[in-house]
Amino acid sequence: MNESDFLQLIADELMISADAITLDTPFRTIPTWTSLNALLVVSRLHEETGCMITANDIANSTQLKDLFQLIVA
Amino acid sequence: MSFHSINGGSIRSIFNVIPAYTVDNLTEELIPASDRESMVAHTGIRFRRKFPEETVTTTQLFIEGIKRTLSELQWDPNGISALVCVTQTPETHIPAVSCILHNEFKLPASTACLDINLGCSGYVYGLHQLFSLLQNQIGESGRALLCCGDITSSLIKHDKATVPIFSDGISVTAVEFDRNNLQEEYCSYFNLETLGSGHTAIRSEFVGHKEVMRLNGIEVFNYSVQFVPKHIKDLLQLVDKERISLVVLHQANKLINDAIAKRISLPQAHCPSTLYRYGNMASASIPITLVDYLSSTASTGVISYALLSGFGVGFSMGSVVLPLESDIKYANLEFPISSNEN
Repeated sequence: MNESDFLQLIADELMISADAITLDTPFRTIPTWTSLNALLVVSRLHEETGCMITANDIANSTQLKDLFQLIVA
Repeated sequence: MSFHSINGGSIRSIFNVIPAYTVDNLTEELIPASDRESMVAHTGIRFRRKFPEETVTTTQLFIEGIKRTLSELQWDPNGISALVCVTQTPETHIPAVSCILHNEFKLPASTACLDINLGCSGYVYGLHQLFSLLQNQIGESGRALLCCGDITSSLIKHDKATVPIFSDGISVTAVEFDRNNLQEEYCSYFNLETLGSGHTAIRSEFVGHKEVMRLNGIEVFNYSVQFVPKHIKDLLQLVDKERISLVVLHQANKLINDAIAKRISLPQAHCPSTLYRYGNMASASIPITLVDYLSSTASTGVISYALLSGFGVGFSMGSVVLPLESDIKYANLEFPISSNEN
């Protein structure tokens, strides 16, 4: 998964335009970042990449690039 | 994995007791109005069942279920060899609910009573306990009762992560053992597993004097999707998968259940869901869904095989492949039970 695919996936699950976010976006500032939508993001990333992001991973992350690094690591 | 095969046990009846009062998640004030439809779409849960606060106890509900069970089966309480209760919402922790029920129904001293503190995996663990007790009992036959379920609403006030998911409800299942039924077709296969590393995914804590349940949705999802499909697939290696016509998963939420159903791949089997109408009824969700399915399908008179799989708080997993006979008695009873139901 490349950066563009990742941002599009996040935008789809948070119901926003992909143009509104970058890897530097602090994801908690996105108004549609709710506990349910966070779960949808985790679910979709697992479906698409096989990578399982944990609740601790999210707690320790600030920007979207922190999550992206977990996918590509 | 922990496999067990037990011959001769079968389910004779399932009577569930659920609240008559229904809550619609599309009007749930804890969730912003703009998010409600999306929440229902993704969790799969539109309606929940809830007892008005402090109007009824788990033990009272078990009593109603047992009364109906004994009446429908015309079982003599003196013939009950064992009574197991699976609940996480007993009114008090001492004594065991099963001992209170023992007194209520004047069961004989020869009845073994046991409570199990488990949630969503509890129905399968309870069946396993009773099948094992009855199989090992000296004698030709034996009868036992499994009570399971919770008044979960008593643990989850004002929490938008849990309130829209959980429903109240209990189930009473009657099981019977017959030493004349030891053929392979009457064999049940269990897989019971625990991943204690996930014990914080669902837990309770005290806020003042009040016990409150906390749920970490992402951890529950991760454990469910990572480990439950393998847990089930390991069990399926012991049986002829082709003869399984029904899969009843614990009703967690749509995201989790869809992911598990997709991964276990039993295309010939029906996999019913009651999430939309009943939500997540913890350990009662399997028998509630089973009764809902049996109520909607014609009895064929042929023994069919069902896979039942419970998973959740612990993180605990229990699955069984067992024969389901067509003459099981069953009903979902709404509480308060109307006079013509008694």
